[in-house]
Amino acid sequence: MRTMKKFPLFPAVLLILLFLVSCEKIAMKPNPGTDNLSIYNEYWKILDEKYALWDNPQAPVNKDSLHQATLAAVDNTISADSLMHVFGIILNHLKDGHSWVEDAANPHFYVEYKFYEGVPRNLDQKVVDQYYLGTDYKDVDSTMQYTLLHNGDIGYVQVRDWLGGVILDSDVDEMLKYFKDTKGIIFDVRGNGGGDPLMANLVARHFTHEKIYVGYERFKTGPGPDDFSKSDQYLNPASGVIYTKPVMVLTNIICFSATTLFIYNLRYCPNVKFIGARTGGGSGSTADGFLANGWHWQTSVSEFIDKDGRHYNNGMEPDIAVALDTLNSTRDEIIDAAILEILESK
Amino acid sequence: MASKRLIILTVLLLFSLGLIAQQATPEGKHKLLYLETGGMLSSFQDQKFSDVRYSGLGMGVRLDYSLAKKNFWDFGAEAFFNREHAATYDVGKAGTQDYRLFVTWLRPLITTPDATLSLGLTPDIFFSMRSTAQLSNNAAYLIFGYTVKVPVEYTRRINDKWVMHAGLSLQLFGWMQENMSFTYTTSQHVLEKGEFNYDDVPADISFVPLWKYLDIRTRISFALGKRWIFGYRWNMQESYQVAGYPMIKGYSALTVGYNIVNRIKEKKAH
Repeated sequence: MRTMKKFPLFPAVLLILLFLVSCEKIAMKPNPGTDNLSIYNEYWKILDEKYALWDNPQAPVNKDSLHQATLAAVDNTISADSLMHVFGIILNHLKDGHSWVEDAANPHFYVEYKFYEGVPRNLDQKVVDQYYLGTDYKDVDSTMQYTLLHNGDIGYVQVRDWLGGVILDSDVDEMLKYFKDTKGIIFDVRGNGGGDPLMANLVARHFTHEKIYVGYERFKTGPGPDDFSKSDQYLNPASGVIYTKPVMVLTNIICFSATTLFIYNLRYCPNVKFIGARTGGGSGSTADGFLANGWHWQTSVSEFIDKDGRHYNNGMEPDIAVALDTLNSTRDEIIDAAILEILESK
Repeated sequence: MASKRLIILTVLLLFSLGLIAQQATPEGKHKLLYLETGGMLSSFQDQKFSDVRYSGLGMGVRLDYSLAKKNFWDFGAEAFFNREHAATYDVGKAGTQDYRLFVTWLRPLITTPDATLSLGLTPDIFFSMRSTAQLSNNAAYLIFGYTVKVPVEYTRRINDKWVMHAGLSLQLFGWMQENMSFTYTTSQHVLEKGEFNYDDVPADISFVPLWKYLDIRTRISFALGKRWIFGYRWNMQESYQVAGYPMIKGYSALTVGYNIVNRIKEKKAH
């Protein structure tokens, strides 16, 4: 240990420490502009770098021409309405239901691609409630309801979202024990626009005894056009009760997002068939954030591709297409078709 | 951006050299337990998602138990809570929480009758959570892990009542998990390795070198007698999950502390 007697740099220490007040801001970029062109450029950069479906074969889009055409429509004199309209044009070309922009201070001011617009819903909840589910049904946290149909031969389950409550493995176990003497199950996810993908995955795992390779999720991982990674996806059997008798999954255009994961996971289960109408899609995961003017954006940053190379972001056709007869307010033809399919299964 | 980082590191290097050029004396053997609290200014920018800066006010608490004999040991815990807002819009307010446990070991390098200059090691464990209102998937930003830092500490007796402490701590490396990748709220490392799945959240506490994660801490404080201490702290963290898109957060805090355990064997100043 050395010793000395003077401290000539002591005042300098104080000065340097004071200099460090908010020194982190030196490393930060300046705030972006909030004029129309800055906002447009900020949003386009987000889509350019983060959107994972520019090359989706289900919705081909010419990125460069879309950029040129929409950029030409923006200058700093147009209104917020007009700028939002330009973003709406971009979203309609992307045809991705997960992508939207809203004014976070006024959520009624938004644009999105309405994949469901003009498409029959193929679901009348009143008919389901009155003639199938009835009043004597089991309920799991206001999210999953189930009952027996056709003198106890058929189990009927409806899940209209994966968000309202919590479904645990023990809940699914209990339900499948209740269905142990059935010949098959109808799993009705029509009208289910998504929610928690972990919950959808948890339920799907109760319909296989074996680990099944489903495909992969393709993630955008960086700003470059080729910055993607692939995460293999497997349907792993649950540790609780497994149901391997016929399962008919009912679908419609509103089946979206986490419900697409549910469908994707069950696609290669030999005991599962899909009945109803084309799904809405919305495969993959999303990111969201704010533009510098406070508009809230969300977009798709991944997509599911199955082991046969099929894409799901813009929906999937069912194995058996059945439409609801809207003039018949006492029957649900899709449920009836599923009952028949189970009863005719060997 | 690299040049800005260079400026910060240069300033800190000069600061360190300044300390080393000076001399010090031991403050004396002691056992101290300081409870500190204070107010802070914080700032945040995650260039992966936006260049808009967030800033805000908050408060923190810190508990320090220090033992000084031949070497200096400091066992501490700190927690900070902040509320931040964006520079360019009124929505999306963010709440932040930062927790940290650390142990500092310091060995005096140079002493004079009035001052001590010490160098050592600080292993720490930390957890940071940032929650942004109105966002959905990207609402929660989590970082947790442990790092190894090198602290330089300079203590000087100013007069019979006041003792000054000035310190700089620079993280060398760490192991950590950050949940915000370039796109999704999952570790960038997990996505790049193709290990994302829906059955569980893959644990991924990965080695992080200095150039991917930078954590700098400075402090200057003035102890009044045996009981009170008044200080200023600055911390900056800069994380590169993706090259060219750093997340930067920092705070400046003014603190006041009270020594609960009063056991100091002092040397008189000359």
